Amino acid sequence: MGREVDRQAAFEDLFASHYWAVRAYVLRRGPEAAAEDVVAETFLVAWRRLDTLGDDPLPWLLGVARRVLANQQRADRRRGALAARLQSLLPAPEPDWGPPATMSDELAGAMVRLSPHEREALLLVAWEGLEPARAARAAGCSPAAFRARLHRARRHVGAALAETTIAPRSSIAGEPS
Amino acid sequence: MNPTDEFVIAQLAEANPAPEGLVPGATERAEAERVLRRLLDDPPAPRRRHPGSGILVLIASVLVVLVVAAVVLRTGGSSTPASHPSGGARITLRAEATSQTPRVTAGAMSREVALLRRRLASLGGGFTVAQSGTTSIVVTAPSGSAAQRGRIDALITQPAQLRFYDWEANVLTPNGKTVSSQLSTQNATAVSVSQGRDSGPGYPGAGSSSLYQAVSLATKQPPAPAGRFLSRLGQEYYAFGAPGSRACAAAAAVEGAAGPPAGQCLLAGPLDPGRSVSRSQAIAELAAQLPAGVTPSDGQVLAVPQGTLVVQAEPLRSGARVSIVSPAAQFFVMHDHVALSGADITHPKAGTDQSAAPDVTFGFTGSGRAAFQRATRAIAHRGAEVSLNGLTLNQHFAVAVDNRLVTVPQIDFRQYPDGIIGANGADITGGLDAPAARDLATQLRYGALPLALRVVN
Repeated sequence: MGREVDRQAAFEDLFASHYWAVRAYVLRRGPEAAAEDVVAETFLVAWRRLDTLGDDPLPWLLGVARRVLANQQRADRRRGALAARLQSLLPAPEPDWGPPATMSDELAGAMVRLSPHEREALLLVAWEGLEPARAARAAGCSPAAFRARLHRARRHVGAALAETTIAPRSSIAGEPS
Repeated sequence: MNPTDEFVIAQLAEANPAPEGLVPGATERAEAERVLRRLLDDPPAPRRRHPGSGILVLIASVLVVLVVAAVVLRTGGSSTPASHPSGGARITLRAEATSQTPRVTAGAMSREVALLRRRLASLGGGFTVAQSGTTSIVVTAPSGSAAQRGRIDALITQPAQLRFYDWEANVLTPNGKTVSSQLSTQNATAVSVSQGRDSGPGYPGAGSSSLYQAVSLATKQPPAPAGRFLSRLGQEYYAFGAPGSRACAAAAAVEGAAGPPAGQCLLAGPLDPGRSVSRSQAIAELAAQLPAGVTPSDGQVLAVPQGTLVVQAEPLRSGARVSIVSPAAQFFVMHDHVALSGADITHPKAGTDQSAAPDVTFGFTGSGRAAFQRATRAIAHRGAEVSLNGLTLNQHFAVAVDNRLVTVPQIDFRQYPDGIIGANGADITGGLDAPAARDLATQLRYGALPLALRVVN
């Protein structure tokens, strides 16, 4: 009984420490409506594996969240098989990853053209603020492989942004004097 | 030339749909509570019930309440456990007078403490800010990631002074003359700096130059007498290394760059030691910033005189947070004649204009309103004067936060021939996306600390 209480306390610590980071990760990659279930499933897996978690569990948690999110998307696609078949008849199928509304068209276009691994590498660094070594753990690959993905992703996005021209013209307005 | 890696990451960070540091609302907190309860009510391993487990249930309930409270009180995004302040950092700061607040008074200290609290609140809970003695402030911060610590340092130590300038009347072309003095002849360089090229004015490429070129031009300006229109009293110091020098290689290694830049490199600075510090004292301070093994004699020390500013071209819309040491960074040189400061602005708010485009609205204090009307009238009148031969040359305000140029909005002289009255506030619109509007509103809101802060320990 004492062990169960200890385990629960350890889990509650883990939850309190990382809930918001995991939730933000999921919100950045999936629909808000699905976030609660994905986060709950992620922490359920974490509870099962509680004894094996190291000192820095966040990268691992994010990796689990990514897989839970992917599984959920796959399940959704299976449910909508007819819709998927109809969609496949369209000339440009929707990408798996949808850019958020906060992203400019130029950047969104460049991000959509990346491979999923490259895109995730960039986002783990830019959005989750992880250093490459921790980000590699979240991505489930070696640090060397992660650096290569990150390098390719930055190069592709940088090249795409260099081709675009931003034409901002801001003005100041008010009541004429 | 491709944008730098830093630029790509900065663009992405700006587009983050769930930025770190957002304070969760009641709905989010309720969701956190719901998820935790779901898990605790249905744990993954079978739980054996013992007679008398009521006590355990009671303990568990108390734990649930405590943990939920901890989660609720956390402000999101951080990946580190909540810590007692004693487990984090304790930072002692010394407040110093500025040109806008020439004396460290009790009132100024009180405003400073209040503003620091507001700034740090944007990072979440767990901070304490307290005045210590007449000129010191002690900040305790919870432990956190390196990135979080960086943001805390930036929020505390960045003076984040917000200033509005008449753009054309202050910005210089490479010949050292103001743009406005050359517009009547429609000098091509002056028109380019005034109107921008493919992008708007104030953007990299629209008449900007490298840091070394900008500082070199700035050093040639005569010093201005002290006055309330200045944002900085005294000189600003920089140390540069020669192209390909050992000093530049050492600086590049410190920055983690692949190699030294092709041109001159920044070794140390900018340093604003205040007006009472001599050149030799300033150089000694600058020496402390140099990379290991590099001495001031390995580089060239340049001093920008009082009354001249070097500002980085870093408009909000580009999302560029390019480091000052990056070879891609671009700069303008300006006369330091402040038309309005952040203290003149009230109630800044990001929203949308009548055409649903993102904008930032704000009001003015009484003195700010008068200054705004005066400045916009001068800007509008000049627009009418220099728009000749069918060429419309609307003139601009420049909004600078510290030494970064964040936006350069125009004033349409046909719509506002006598400027903008400002009684009902004003808004900056166009050329902003929603995140940029939010950033600008935040900078307008938290921009001005009345006193400069120096970290003592």
